[in-house]
Amino acid sequence: MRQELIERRLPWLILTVGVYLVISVTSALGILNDYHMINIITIGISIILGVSLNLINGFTGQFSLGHAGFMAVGAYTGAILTMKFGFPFPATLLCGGLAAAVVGLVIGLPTLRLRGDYLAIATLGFGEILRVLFINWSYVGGAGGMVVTQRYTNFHWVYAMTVLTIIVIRNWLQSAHGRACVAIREDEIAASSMGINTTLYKVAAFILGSFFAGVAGVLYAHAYYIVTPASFGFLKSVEILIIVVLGGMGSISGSVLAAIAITLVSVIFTPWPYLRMILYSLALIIVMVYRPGGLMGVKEIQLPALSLKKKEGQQVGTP
Amino acid sequence: MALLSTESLSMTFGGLRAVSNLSLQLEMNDLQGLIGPNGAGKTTVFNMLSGMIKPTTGKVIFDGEDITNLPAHQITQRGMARTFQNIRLFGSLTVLENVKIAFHRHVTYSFMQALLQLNIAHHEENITRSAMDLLDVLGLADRAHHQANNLSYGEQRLVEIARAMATQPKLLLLDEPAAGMNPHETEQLMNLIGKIRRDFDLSVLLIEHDMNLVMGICERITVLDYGMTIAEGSPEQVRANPRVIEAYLGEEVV
Ligand SMILES: Nc1ncnc2c1ncn2[C@@H]1O[C@H](COP(=O)(O)OP(=O)(O)OP(=O)(O)O)[C@@H](O)[C@H]1O
Ligand SMILES: [Mg+2]
Repeated sequence: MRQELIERRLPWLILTVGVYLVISVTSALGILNDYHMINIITIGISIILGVSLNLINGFTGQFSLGHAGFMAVGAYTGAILTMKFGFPFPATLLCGGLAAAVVGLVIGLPTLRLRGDYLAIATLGFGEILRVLFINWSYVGGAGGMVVTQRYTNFHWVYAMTVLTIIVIRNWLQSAHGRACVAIREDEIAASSMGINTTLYKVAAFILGSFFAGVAGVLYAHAYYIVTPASFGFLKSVEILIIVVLGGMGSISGSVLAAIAITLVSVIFTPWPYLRMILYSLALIIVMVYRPGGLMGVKEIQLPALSLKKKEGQQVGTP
Repeated sequence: MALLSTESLSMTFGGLRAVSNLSLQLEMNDLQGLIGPNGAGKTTVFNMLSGMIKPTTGKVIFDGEDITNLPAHQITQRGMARTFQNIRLFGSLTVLENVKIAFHRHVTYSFMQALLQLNIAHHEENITRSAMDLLDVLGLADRAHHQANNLSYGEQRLVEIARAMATQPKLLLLDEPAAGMNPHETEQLMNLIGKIRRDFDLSVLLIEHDMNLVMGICERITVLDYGMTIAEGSPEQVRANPRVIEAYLGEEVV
């Protein structure tokens, strides 16, 4: 059993370490320049956002339209803590996540108790309220935003947080608690009839997703020079939603692939922002027509298990 | 003391009295039938018992406790499970996953343990094994890894029962379990219900239109018509009751 587990996980470990080494080394050698690295950082942040939103929208079936809002909570919390209070970066990451999680609780608890799409309405409103709040709050620079001179975010931090997000959310989904979330997506009434406290699990998934959006926000704030209310508007939430829908509602690997693709497209088309939106829309339409479940549907990428020992002929009597 | 009793339970939808003044009594290990024509209010009774809807008036006492206002999941946790007339499986998941989810009541590890995957492997193995055992009992073991949606109608109804059983109930509410089954499957289902009741020591309340099934296995039967209880008693008594014949059974059964 243990052996089998190791054999299944080894390829992922190799892939994870491999990608890390390749990027680190090529960047150290100057093959990847600063421009490449900031885009890789953006990809990592997008992956965190996509995977965490997928937990809420794809796996638990609750429609959140305000993921960028939780990112904003993390970003501003992070910026305040490092710039005004001199917090160390690891503590800031944790606090940014926790702040977003607390806000997630406040929004999730009243709306997720009800059946239906109240969450969509509430999160939509939340994003707008937050924007107005930050615009009028001079302590964090108002509409002009807050300058962040502490550029703590580097490839290593982003990579670590991306891997952490994926592992933690995957762990959750492979547990009985995660199965309860998926059951709610499949049929909320049947789930409650199986003894599942549906409100508890919807709120739990929402808080967990918000936490990682907050972490992504902290990374964002310390990767660019400035956080502004406009960076976390409705369009940003839509962009994250597109990642989830394109990759597959209910597929972590799908969100990872879609986050990479969307970020690359958005980088390439930066000079033509309207073209970018048209391309998003086209991609969405094409996926909806030809693969309604998204690129991966609810499936995950499987890597072939690595066999550690040569099979010893007759000795395959394990259960 | 009765396992389940209801006191003048009523449900009104707008102006429609779907159930009026129902008084049910179910003892430990009883197998009771609930019958009546379409729209008589049978499913509405199940919805009230299992906490899916709150009765307009009246009380539900289960295992000595007033559960009338408890949410559905807490009623399940107290040992009442049900199946759905309009099948409600977790359709895109496998049969095994469907049943594993229903073991939720017995999950003891915390959220934190789940997030860190800390010491949960043996819990998970136990859940998987118990789920497979249940599928074995219901003759679904070879379907374990099939997607629930892809099963035949009859098999889906069996998965519904497996899932309800996984919550380890004292009382099992079955809403038309034979609907969509052929006569052969129906007969197997009859045997299965009897076997489950014996082996798992539970009570069953059964809604069913298949008269052979109901009369064949139920010890007591309650007959509803337009939400009212028009007869109650043994299958023989019910069959002989003129009001039942008029309302439901029709001449040919006499
Ligand atoms: N949620 C609801 N809202 C309004 N009316 C309802 C609701 N649920 C049931 N009814 C009505 O209550 C009456 C009883 O319905 P119920 O489903 O309990 O009947 P039933 O005995 O289970 O019938 P069948 O044998 O067709 O399953 C019907 O007239 C139905 O239309
Ligand atoms: Mg019914």
